[in-house]
Amino acid sequence: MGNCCSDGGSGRAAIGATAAYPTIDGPNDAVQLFLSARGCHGLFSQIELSFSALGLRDRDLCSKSDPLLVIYVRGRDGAVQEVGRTEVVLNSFNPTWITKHTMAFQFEVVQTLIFRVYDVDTPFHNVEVKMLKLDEQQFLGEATCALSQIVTKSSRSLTLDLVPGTEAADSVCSQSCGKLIVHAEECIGSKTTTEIIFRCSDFEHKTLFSRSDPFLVISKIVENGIPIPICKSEVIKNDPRLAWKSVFLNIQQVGSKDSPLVIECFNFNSNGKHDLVGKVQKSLVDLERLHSSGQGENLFYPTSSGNNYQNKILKSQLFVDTFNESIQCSFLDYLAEGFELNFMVAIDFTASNGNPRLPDSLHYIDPSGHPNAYQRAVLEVGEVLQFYDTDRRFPAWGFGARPIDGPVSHCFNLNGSSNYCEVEGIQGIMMAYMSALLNVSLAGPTLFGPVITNAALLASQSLANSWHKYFVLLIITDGVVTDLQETKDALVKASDLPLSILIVGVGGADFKEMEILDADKGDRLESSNGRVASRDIVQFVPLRDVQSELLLYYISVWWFYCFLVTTLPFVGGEISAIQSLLAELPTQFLTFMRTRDIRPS
Amino acid sequence: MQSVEITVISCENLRVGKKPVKKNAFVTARADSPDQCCQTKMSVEGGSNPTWNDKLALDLPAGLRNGFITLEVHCRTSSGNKLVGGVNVPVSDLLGGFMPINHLQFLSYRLWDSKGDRNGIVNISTRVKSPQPYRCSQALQPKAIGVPVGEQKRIGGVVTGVPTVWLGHRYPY
Repeated sequence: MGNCCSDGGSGRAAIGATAAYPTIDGPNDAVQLFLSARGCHGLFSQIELSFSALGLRDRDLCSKSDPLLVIYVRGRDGAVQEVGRTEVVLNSFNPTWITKHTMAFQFEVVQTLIFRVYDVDTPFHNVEVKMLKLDEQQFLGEATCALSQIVTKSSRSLTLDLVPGTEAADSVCSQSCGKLIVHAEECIGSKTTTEIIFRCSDFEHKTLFSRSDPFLVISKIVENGIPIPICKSEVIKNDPRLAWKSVFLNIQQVGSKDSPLVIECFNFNSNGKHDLVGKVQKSLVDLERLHSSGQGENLFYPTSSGNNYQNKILKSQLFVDTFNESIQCSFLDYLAEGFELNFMVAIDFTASNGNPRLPDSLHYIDPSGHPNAYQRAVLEVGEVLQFYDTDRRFPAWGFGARPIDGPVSHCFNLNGSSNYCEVEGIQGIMMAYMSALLNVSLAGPTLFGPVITNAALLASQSLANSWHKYFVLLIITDGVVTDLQETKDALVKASDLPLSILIVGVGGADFKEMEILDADKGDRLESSNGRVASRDIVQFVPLRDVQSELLLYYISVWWFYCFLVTTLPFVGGEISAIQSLLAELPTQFLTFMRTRDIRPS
Repeated sequence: MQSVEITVISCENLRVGKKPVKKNAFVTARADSPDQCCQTKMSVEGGSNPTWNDKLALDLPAGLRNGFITLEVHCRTSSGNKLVGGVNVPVSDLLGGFMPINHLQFLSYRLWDSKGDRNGIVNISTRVKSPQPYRCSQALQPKAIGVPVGEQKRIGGVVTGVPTVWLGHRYPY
């Protein structure tokens, strides 16, 4: 994730939405941020929600209710926005609505849904549902839930009690308002993945002395002819055989098998200005045909003469060596099968945070309730992850402090107990944190090794018993780690476990050294005894004032891509740095499960 | 007698002399005695990042619990087999911790050439098949670890356990 905009070094990696096996070069890249900032999230699933209700109130004297369901989404800022309506079912207390609502499942945010049921009066029965004014109808009840609550249930159905809400203008309803049942289905397009291996032949060198370091960019073409990049291959360096590693495309990313795709071949240039060698325009169906016939397709180079766009056909041909379609189990399939994400948190209690009683300390508890940096990080990550943990018991540790009557501990239980480390719910973490601040004295140095080793112990214990838990450790720290080699050793040992580590840096320190731990920016981690990490389990992000950083980021990324993409509608809203971290988790989970061939049955 | 199945998946960044390996790399594995040596297929076109996905089975005599399995990467050239690099994989890495029998482990190791320089990485997956239960070496690890107050400086970056000349050396762990 760093600030580097040029596509050098680790930027030579392949990126695409679906990772089928652990690759050293992860998807964190300028391109990925660019795409997700514009709402093109790589790995999101489309969910179709269907609705029914039981026991609705009887508001009409002469007949049964004619219920209509309206769906709202509540954003992070609290703004409620209507996103859909069902049809009106006549004369029913237990309606099953046919109209479904489709929405994208975004792992990294809490998607709060609000459902309101209205009874549509007879004069409005012939009016189109979209035109109905809701304040002219009779409100029957409302229910709220998070989308992740629905998808984590094994039946994918959630039953909610309808409550009067704030619109109980008349007498308090003594009877219950009924129940709403919401059912979620994942659209099948999300699960079909195509593995393609491309090869080029007869590569024409631009100049006699240029090296060719080719890479491919696959884009889909949207309505107004604009290509949106969805996938990028790795850069081939110094290999005369121009065959790239497998590229995985999700049918849903692409749209459909017939959607036109543009496959462009560029020559990598470390200054960021990659030369276009040539391109082809094919859909997935065409690529499948190329594969079965074994023929190649000539690349063309677009040239313009006057008002006409002519394409110069090149000698180089693109071949499709492999074309494999498979239905892969998605993240949601694993959730439905009972797989869980277990959240764990470790908080830095070193003296560099400052005296907690003083307002300039990072640990200062504001009496007005405004959360400090540590609380914000716990809330932002915990709020999303809590739904994926069935028992809501989270291990919580502190490090770098001296508990009363004790030596400095680099992994003490936040709840003050010496036997068990878990607390109940996010609230439990907050309360244990605040009481720990009163009971320990901040010390140092900043060591991650013991906390990581403890988390790894929990993960390996779970692994020995069952495969159904994946652990996420959040480490919040204000300083640079002191035991870099020991931390690396602990990380390498833990790299084969079902564990992901998110490190959030708070405060104003220079976290440059911490980025070494995030293998996206450099080499794979190596321990002191020669073992290398099997996968990259660490992600690091500084929790700063994200607005100004994002602005610089957009500008630098835009400059880099101005020759690839002409315009792009700004679809998505702002994303926080922590959300981008969380967005990676389903991919890390899937990569771990798929390489070990652990499937939901 | 325990047996272990090692799947040699791939290698990265192999070099012979100063140049990247072009082709014909293969891996041998042996546990303790030279007559128990296994070998993967040749990777004809893999270049400096060859892939094999080849399974090798080795028997581990009981005394080898603290010993090593030696993996060596060779390259067949016109002048014979050249040793590209190798590593001593501690058997405790394969058996350690809470891993149940038949559990698939993915491990990666740094390769060292005959001069003691770094020369690439080897990626393997291992599965221990054993009729007898083994002792969990980390069963009694304490949860809270305290260290004395004061800076812990690592002077000179002395790294333990990295062999300077790996051939034929045994390192006690």
